[in-house]
Amino acid sequence: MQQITASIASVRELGSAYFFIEACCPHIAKHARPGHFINVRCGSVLLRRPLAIFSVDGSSIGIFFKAQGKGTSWLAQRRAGEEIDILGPLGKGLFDENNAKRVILVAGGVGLAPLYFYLKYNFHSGAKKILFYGARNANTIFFQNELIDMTDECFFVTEDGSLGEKGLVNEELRRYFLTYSPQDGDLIMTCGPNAMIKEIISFAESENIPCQVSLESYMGCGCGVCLSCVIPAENPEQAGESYFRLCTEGPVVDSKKIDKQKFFNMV
Amino acid sequence: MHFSDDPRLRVDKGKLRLKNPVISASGTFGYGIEMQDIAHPEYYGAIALKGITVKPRAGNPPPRIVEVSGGIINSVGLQNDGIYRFVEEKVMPLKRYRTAIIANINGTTADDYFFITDKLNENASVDYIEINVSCPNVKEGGVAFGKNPKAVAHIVKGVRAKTNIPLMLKLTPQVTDIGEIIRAAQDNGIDIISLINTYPAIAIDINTRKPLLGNIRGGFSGPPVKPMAINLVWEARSATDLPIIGMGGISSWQDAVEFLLAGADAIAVGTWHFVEPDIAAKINEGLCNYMDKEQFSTLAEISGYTWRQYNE
Repeated sequence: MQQITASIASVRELGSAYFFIEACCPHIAKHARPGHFINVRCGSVLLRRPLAIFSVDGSSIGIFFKAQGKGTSWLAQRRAGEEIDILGPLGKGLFDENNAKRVILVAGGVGLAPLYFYLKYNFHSGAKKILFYGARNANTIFFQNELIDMTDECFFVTEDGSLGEKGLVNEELRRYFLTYSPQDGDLIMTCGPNAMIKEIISFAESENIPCQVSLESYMGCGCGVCLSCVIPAENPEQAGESYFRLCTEGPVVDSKKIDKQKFFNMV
Repeated sequence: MHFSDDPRLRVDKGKLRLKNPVISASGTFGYGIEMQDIAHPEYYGAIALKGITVKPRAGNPPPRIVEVSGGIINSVGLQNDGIYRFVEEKVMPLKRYRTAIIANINGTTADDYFFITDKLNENASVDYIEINVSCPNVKEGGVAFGKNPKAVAHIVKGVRAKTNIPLMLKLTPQVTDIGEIIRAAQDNGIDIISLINTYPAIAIDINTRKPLLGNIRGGFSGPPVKPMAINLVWEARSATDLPIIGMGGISSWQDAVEFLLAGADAIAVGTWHFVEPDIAAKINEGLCNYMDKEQFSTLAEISGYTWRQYNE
């Protein structure tokens, strides 16, 4: 982990308030793995904003985000040549293959970011890769050609049916498994809105498919000191371990580590 | 030599003896080593570890943090592994660094404070004990003790009887007369005063119409509390000659100087760790440059400088 003043190489407005920024930070680029995140200082906004690392290209990293609140809106207004203050790479929990034979990736909206990095990072791995990428409409499905190139099968799902299948990504995932049953060596990796995550975890656990999930939480430090971003833990050994820190023990966790009852109540 | 080791920054007043005046406020710097890649423990004069209780505590349900205008509200609720795992797992890893260690102790009863002190005293593993009677995020004990001079007197007296480790008292800003609380503590053997803890606060999401924190209420901190904290440091300085650790909204070396001028002997950084993790090093550097420019040769000359102009 380092604190870095990174020079912005490029800012791309992708449409519908989605942005892609590339920033030069060799240390982070060198050490980043799929699932790592950065904590970015956003102007006069007090708390840094945690953002998944989307890609690495040489000494630069890419971030893909939607301008939603004050912090991300500030970030969206940056221009090439300006500098941003970044902490990273952060997080211990990573998307990892564990010898999976078939990796099923389920992305919702900006939740695509760490999964895109996984696909790029593991392009030459032997596992079969199937992506389900859901968004509101055709205008908010990005990087289509790259995603098709990096996967064995790629399903786009939109709520209005303007691209790919109409509906929700979790429904499409279920339909897929009705046709192609679960197999040994399957692994689900998912990132997206909590309502989607909840459905994906429920499905994966009912089918006994291992599930790695990248979660979001209101975060303070991003480095494990403030205990703000915690997630309810399954079967804690003692009361002090009832919650785990998402920043240092995640943000990617095995779904079995989460106390689903408490977590689903929160989302 | 790093600025943090500049001999001009030494604090030496009563029982408060530090290599520099910058302390990490309890709960904002974990157990001191997590962020060492960017905020080395040795940048600090002392590190106040995350608050401990007798038994392990789960803490409050998330969300535990929300950003509001200028600051944050937190409601962590003293999540910790309890006193039995504290010394071995949390204190020992920090012992190899050249910085003082402060244990921040909490209880729902006075006996809890006495019990923890006993355990800490057995192995004399910490340099200071900070008696926290000001946590706004627990249902029992905490700030309820800190508002009551009789409870403060009882707890300080009992803790004092258990140990010779220097004792700090962490105060809440939520009192009518902070001098009354300080005198109750001083009469019963407190060595150092530290203030302030956070202000009770609530934020509501107008769309869901629910509180933004899982615990409904939390403690507000950040730059907006600074002038109010300085006011209380000034009042504390008027009430006692004991060493004072000032904190509340410090985000720069200039803020640190302001606390010192008002009467603090050392300062603590809290919320700003989340914004600039290397803030301690920056404050020490800024203090050294300020001393050069203003021709101060010791920190003690700055401490209470402005307060003295109006009170001596």
